[in-house]
Amino acid sequence: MAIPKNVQSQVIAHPLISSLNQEETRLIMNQLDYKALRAGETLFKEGDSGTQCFLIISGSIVVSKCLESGLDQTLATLGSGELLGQIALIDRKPRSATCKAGAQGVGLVLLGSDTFESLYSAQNTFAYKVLDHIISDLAKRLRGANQQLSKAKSASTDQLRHSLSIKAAQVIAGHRYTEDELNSIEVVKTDFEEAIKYSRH
Amino acid sequence: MTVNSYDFLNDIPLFKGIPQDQMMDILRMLRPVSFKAGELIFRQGEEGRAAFVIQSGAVEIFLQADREAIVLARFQSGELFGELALIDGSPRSAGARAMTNCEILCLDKSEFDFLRGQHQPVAFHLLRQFSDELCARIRDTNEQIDQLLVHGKSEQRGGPIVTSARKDQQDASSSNIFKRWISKLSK
Repeated sequence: MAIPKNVQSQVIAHPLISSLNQEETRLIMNQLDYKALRAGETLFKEGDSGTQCFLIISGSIVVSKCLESGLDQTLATLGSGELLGQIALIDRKPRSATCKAGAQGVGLVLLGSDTFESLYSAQNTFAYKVLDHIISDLAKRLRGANQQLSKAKSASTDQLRHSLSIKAAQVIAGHRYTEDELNSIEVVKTDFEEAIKYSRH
Repeated sequence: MTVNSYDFLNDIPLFKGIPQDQMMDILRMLRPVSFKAGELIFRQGEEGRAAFVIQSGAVEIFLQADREAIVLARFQSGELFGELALIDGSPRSAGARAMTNCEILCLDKSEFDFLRGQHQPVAFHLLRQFSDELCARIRDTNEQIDQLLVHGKSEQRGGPIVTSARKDQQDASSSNIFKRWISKLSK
């Protein structure tokens, strides 16, 4: 549905829209759709097809993934201002995780790939900002995840490998770890290895 | 830059579909550099100031672990590497070395940032190509995480832990990139 009047000011305040000029904002607001979900409602499931990306306007989205032995693992909670579903927007492949509305429900702006493509072809500023945001964000996630992944691969125990792998999945899902938190397992790992070394003597 | 380079650019996926006039912007931006076989192109941890497109030769991306280098990926003519630093300016997460004598085109971060800031049409195109590449790599990383979570435990049984972990590391990290590389080579 079109963006309801009562949430328009919230949508305009979104970082990807707030910096557009009046004319650009008007154009974009006419092309975007809005969707509200109640707490726990599913936006999309892992493996679903779908090429829309979503801007969170209010509330939150919980990202989860079915990891090993069918268990659902919560990976990240994304809040207002954040973008999700951007990978499928770009490559049109199935969703890599499940997204549900958080405890307060969620209000989302939808950007479909067709709309995005036409804005992109017209070299529209909004499309540019979305792309720029996507690559900066994905580069950061990729770096963080690969850092955890390479630690996981050389982990000395199953337990450590498991927790580092989960951490990598969380980073990709958009969970924001601080630099210290990302490095923290390094400390644990060293302690772990020291402990093992000493226990052998 | 020679006419030769111009023809070459047209065949590089990163620059495919760029109109002639914008290609001139790209040509102005690229800086050709030669590396000898074995020469270091960038070091792990150093500030990233450019992305690279291989004009001829082959390059390997590696992590230095203790005394041995773990090869993460290999790239050949026409391929792009080191673009993450161009996007976010973070330190290099791995090192790059010329495997053979190489002719490489550097895309400097300062040039790219200028275009990016100006929303130039050519920047649109590059952003799009980078987003495609990043999505592919994110999906690749996802696959590796899944493999570790599902197979990590069983693969370790019965072998010395360190050896098996190292093997795992080499196999998983390079398998997909290798597959892409080999499929390109065999074309």
